This record gives sequence, structure tokens and C-alpha cells, in this order.
Amino acid sequence: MVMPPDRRLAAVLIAGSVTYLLGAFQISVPEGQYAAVGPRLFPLVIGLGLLTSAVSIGLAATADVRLPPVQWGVASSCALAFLAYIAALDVVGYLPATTVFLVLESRLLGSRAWVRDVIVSIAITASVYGVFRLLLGLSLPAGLVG
Amino acid sequence: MWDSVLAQLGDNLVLGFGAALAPLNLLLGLVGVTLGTAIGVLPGIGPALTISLLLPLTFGMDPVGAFILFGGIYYGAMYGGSTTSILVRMPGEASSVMTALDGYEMTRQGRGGAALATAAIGSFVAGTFATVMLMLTAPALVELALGFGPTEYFALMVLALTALGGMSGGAPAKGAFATLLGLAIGTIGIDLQTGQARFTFGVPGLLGGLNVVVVTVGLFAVGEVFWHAATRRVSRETPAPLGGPARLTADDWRRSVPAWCRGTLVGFFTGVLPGAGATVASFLAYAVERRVSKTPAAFGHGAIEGVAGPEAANNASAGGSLVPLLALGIPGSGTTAVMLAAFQMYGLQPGPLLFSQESGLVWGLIASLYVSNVLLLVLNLPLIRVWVRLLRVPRSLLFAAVLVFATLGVYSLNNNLFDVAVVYVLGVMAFFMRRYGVPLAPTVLGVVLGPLLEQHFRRAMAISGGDPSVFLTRPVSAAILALTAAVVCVPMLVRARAARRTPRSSRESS
Repeated sequence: MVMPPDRRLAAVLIAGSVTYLLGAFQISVPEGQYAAVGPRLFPLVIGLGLLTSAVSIGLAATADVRLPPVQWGVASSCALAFLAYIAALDVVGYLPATTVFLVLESRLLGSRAWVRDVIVSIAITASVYGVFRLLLGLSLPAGLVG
Repeated sequence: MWDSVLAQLGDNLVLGFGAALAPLNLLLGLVGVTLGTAIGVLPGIGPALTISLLLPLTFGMDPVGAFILFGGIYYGAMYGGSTTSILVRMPGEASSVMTALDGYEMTRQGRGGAALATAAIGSFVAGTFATVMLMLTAPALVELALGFGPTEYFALMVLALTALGGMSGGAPAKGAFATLLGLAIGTIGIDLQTGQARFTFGVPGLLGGLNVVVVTVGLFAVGEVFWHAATRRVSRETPAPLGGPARLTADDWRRSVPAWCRGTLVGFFTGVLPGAGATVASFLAYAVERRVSKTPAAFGHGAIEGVAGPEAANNASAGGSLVPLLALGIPGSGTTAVMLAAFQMYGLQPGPLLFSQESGLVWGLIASLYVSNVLLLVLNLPLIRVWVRLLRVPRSLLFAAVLVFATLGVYSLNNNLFDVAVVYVLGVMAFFMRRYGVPLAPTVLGVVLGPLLEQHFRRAMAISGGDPSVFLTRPVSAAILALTAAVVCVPMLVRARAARRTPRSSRESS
């Protein structure tokens, strides 16, 4: 028998809540300082609330709930490409990283028009550069060729 | 007494319009409504996402101009959402879902032009009247709130968080978890009162806490792109022909005007309430129209009231939701939570003091909402064909560009990639939250309000000398907390009764 989706969710959430509660217990309360409420009370209450709602999600779980279908391949390749982009920004710099990423990511998201994508990607990269750098004076990751 | 109130209002309006009509602000208003309409038309991209993406860019701007831009985006998105509902039965925003029922049916009967016209004119009427009511009620609420202390603010924030968590659709336990998750994220970083590090796990980047901009961009923008990647609908729908000019016949006017008025009232008051945003407002307005109609059977088969009411309501709710945001500093929805984050970014705290200390900003924003409404009416009806063409923008490039924008905006906050990494983690988290039906808006509200909630709680406790009964002995706070208890209990009772009547429970998504 397959585990109901909400029970899987609850298992993860309970683990997260317990981690948070453990973290809350580690907050040290400074001595000698008078305060009606220290820095630990709020996190403890939140942690208990998280745990309670996570448990009740698990208890309410029923097997007849179907999750929407997900294209795991597309989702994970998009997410990986985005991660690679973030990592590449500091190394190769904004301009090349962004152009390549836009073409690649739109391809992964289902675009099949190479020429258009390349042209639009260059245009987006250039105009974002214009707005951030020239208009607003913000800095962009420079890297080696930026 | 009325004379002085009116004179005061007159002065404020002169001040406000002076700011709103300054050339640069007028231009920002125009950019705001154009962008707002565009994102309203495009499914998957909404006002909360757009404003959070723009937050880093507006950091160096004059706050008045930035809020005029945001106000235009908010109102514009409510206009734009209806267009695709009517023409392709694909709501651009959740708040336009009801519009699709009768709006698309009208299009199929060749009356799409009339549906667009009643949506646009109704949005204008509702937006304008909601702004009038905002202008009149917000200062009154400010008067009331001047007597509020930390106890009352704590109670109000509990109410706002509970209401949004409870009304976000889906299971209440998931809404509660989402809210608490936001509060938990808000506790990361150094505790300002004692200097203790909390949940930083030795990571220096976490000492200052997670920036609200980082959280909203991660949850709304990056999460949305991941979700789109995973559930991409390949088919692209082609807009149906308009069928006649965007004009109303005498009969349409006769039927639309009362529906606009009812929709405006329903929408405004729904907007003021915490938790119930534009989506709930449009559902309620549709229900009201059906109830008062002499021919309820016509609904779903192209009844113009079914377009006029909900479209007026979602615009009016935008105005209504600004009342508690501006007067109390308490947002009740995802979009207004992001706007509160914007205020915090500028070091401003909305609430009674904002009206006295930053009156130029408050009244400039209110005046700009009138201007935005006029701009939207002018931009929308004649240019309807241009807006519809936006649907041809390839979704793949659009979402890829959202990722680039999110990355660079967040990077520019502190010029480091640590924040970008946090955005990434939150985006993945948002993806799984959506997959398992955990709402996102309560989390954002929790992150924004959490630190304030704790601060007010600790202040109230310090004043009372550690006696928690203060929350129940002060009348206003007790009343608000009683209301909060009702918000929790009433839906549970209703659900229990409904479950007894029908074994199958239906779920609304928002």
C-alpha cells in the first residue's frame, strides 16, 4: 500500500518542526537581565504549534487524495540549470552567464525556437544590464568577463 | 466640526495630488498601471510576485514614487485579470476566476465586447469609490488606533495571521502550518532585545535574519517558476474574436450599474477584513448577484451581472485592503504583506504615525490611486487587442527572465550570493508546499509580521509586569482575540455541519 501523500508531507514537516524545537531549546537566555519574556519563549510556542499542526496534517491524511501530476524531469533540470547559473555568476560574470542561462532555461521550459530565443535572450540580458547598471547604478556580478 | 474635517481632507488632497501629478510620479503611475495590467493578463504572474521582484530596484528611489508604482501595479493587476477570463476562459489572476464563468460565455455568444466593457467600467467605478472610502475610513481608523498599545497590536496581528491562515483554502492545519512556518522564518537571526543569536547554526549570513525581500522573491517568484516548469500546460489557447465593439447597450447599463454598486460594497468590506482578499471578494460578489437576480438560472450562461459584480468587487477589495495596511500597519493578504515589506525596507512603519509624519506619502499614494484608475480606463478599453496579444509572449522565456530578475534583484541587496542561495532553497520549498496544498501567502505574512508580533508581545508583557491576562482584560484586545477565536471556530462548525449533510467535501482553491 502506498502512503497517503499528506502523511508523507506530515513526516517531513514533523522532522522539520522537531529540528526547529531543538534549535529553540539551544537559545541561551541571558541571566541577570530582567525581561518578562526572554528570547526563547516565542520560538518554543511556534515550534510546538508547528509540531501540532504537522501531526494533525498527518492524522487527517486520507489515501484517496491524488497529487497533481508533475514532470519531474523538466522540473529538476530547470532547477539544476538555475543552480548552475547562480554558481556561474561569480565565476564567469553576469553577461555571458545570463545569456546562456536564458537560452538554456527557456529551452528546458519547453521553447523550441532556437533563433528567437537567442535573440530575445541577448536583448533581455542587455536591457537588464542597462536598467540595473546604468539606470539604477546597482552592481552586478562581474566575474572574469563581466 | 464637519467643516474642519472637510477642510483637513481638502488640504490633504491638495498635498496628495500635488505629489501624484508631479511629472516623475505621474510617469511611475503610468508604468505601474501598464505593468500591472500586463501581469494581470499573464497567468502565473501576479501583483505580489511583481512587487517583490521590483523591491530591490526601488530601494534607492523616493518612497512616494515607489508606492505610486506599487499602487498602480496592484490596481492594474485587478483590471488585467478579467481580460483573459473573458476572452479565453483563462483567468490571469485567481480573483478573476468567477469572471470566466459568464464572461467567456458572453464571448461565445458574440458579446465579448460588452463583457470587457462592463468589467473595465465596473473596475473604474469600484476602484474610484473604494479609494473614496479608503480616504474616508483610514483617517477614522487612525483616530481609533491612536489609543492602541502593544497589547492591541499584538491582538490585531494574531487576528490577521489567523484569518489569512484559515481562509487560504485547503485544510486548516496546512494554513496553520504555513503561518507558523512564516513566524519561524521570522525568528531567524539576532534577537534585538537580548542580542542572542537564534537559529543561525553558526552561519554568519543568517545573523541579520532573512530579508523579507529574499523570502517573498523565493516563495512567490522562484517557487512559481519551478511550479510552472513541473506542471506546464502545453496547449496555448487562442483568443476568441471580440464580437462587436467594447460598448454597453442601454439594457447592459441598466443591469450593470446596480451590480457594480453591490460588487463595490461587497469588495471593499471584504478587502478591509483580514484574510479575505480579492478572490474571496469576487466569489462573494458572484453569490450576491445570483441571490438578488430574478433569473438566477441565467448565471453561467452569459449573465452580464456575473461579470460586473465580481470585477467591481476585486477592484474594490484592493482599495479596502489598503485601509488596515495604511492605518494600522497590518496587511491581510499576500500583496499587502509585500507592500508592508516595502514600507519596512524604507524604514517606515505604517500606522497612525505614518499619517502624521509621512502625510505626503500617504496622501500621494491615495491621490495616485484616483489617477491610476483614470489611466487604467483610458489604457484598457481602447487597447484591449494589444493586451490580448500579450498572451503570445512565450511563457518559457518569460519565466526564465523572472529567474534572472529574481537573482539579480536579490544579489543587488547586499552584493552577495548567499541571499541568492537562500532564494533558491525557498523556491524549492515553495514548490513542494504548492504540490502538497500548503498555501504560500500565510507564510509571507508570517515572515513580515512575525518579528513585530513578538516585539509587541514582549512589550505588552513588560508593561504588565509579566502578567499575560493583560491581553484579555484590555477591552479592545479582548474583543479582537474573541473575534480571532470566532474566525477559527465558525468555519470548523460550518464544515462539520456540511460534512454531515454531504459526505463528499468540495474544495476551493484560491
